[in-house]
Amino acid sequence: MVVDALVLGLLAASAVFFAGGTLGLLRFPDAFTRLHALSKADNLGLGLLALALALKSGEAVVGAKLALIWLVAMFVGSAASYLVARHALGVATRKEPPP
Amino acid sequence: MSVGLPFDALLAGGIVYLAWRSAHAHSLFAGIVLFIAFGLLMALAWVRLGAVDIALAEAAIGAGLTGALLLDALGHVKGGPGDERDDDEDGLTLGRPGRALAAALATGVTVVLALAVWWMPRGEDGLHAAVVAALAEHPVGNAATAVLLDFRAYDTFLEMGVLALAGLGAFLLQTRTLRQAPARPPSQGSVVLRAMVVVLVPMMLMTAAYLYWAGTSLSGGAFPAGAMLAGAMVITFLAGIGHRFVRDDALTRAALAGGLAAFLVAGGATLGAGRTFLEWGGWTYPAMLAVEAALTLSIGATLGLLYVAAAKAPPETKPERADG
Repeated sequence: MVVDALVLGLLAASAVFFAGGTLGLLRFPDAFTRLHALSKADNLGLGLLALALALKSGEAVVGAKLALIWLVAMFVGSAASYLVARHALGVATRKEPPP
Repeated sequence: MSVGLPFDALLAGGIVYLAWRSAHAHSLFAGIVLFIAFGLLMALAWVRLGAVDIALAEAAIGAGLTGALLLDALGHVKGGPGDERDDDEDGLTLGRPGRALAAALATGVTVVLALAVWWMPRGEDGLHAAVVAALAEHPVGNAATAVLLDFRAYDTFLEMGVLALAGLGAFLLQTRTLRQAPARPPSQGSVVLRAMVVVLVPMMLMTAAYLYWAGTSLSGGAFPAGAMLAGAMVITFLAGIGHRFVRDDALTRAALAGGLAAFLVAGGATLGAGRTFLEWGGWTYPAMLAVEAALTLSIGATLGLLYVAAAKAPPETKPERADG
């Protein structure tokens, strides 16, 4: 009962963060600010979602797998954000971007 | 469950909407990104229909690898960074009759598919009873793997032939007779990309091995595992350390032909043992595992080669030494 309420609250918070990230994607002026909104908000939203699902399932193995998924998604998201920002910087300054 | 229908309706509506937006996107790049999102929603739809193996293949191949191929093709078309030509300038606009014909064809295909699903035998009709009975005493627990590699092994055998031809076609793209537009170079072997490869590729290899092995009783099998291997190849190539994959030599050709060869050898063995072609008999479990292993490697190699064969290789990067 309490667990269900907690899961619902975490899911709602996750939805709020995802919506905020999407709002940033739509409203911010250029690539860098949009990347900032996406990577920060979506990573946190995914973490809350993983926590909610782990609590709902109640098994430790599932919780460990979800935590691993969250970590991998954060890693890939950060790396991809860096690469997109690097390309955008190269296009904006018209010279070779940093490695 | 009670949330089923609204969720399914939202999903179906989202799929149709994304497909429409992808076809009407304001730029090719936006269209490709929307297509990848569409592929992910399709994977969710497959899960809702209970076909998890197809969902895995759709997410890995349909959304992932096809999206990467489309982006690479876009790089060839655009011709270089900063080429922001308006997409309507290529001269390939359909007039009124062309668009009407396209709409009629699309509607016709949709109607045919809907009728086919409507008239599909339900419940106990058709082959369902026979398949369920055969599955009950099958050594393999996963229905999809049993169908792909035992009941309909002949179809998978022909599919391997198609894949081998596709890989061959990808290599033909490397001939110099085609006007080689330089692909938009990937991020010049960024340090971050190489770090990503170091972390992700071992995990991808492990996941591919797990998908292959778990495919006998849970969802998985040769196709998702092969797609994972292909993804590892693509990301290694993009980091600038995958030049091995583009070389056209005996190992590459062996990988391309491996799946087909495995089926031919196994089929020959069954013929030699007096059974019909690809009828495993008492050797079902080991034969399926062996053929599936060859399939995984071959599918991974072919799908990866489809990407790297036409892509322009990033400059070979040596790891930087710390000076001073």
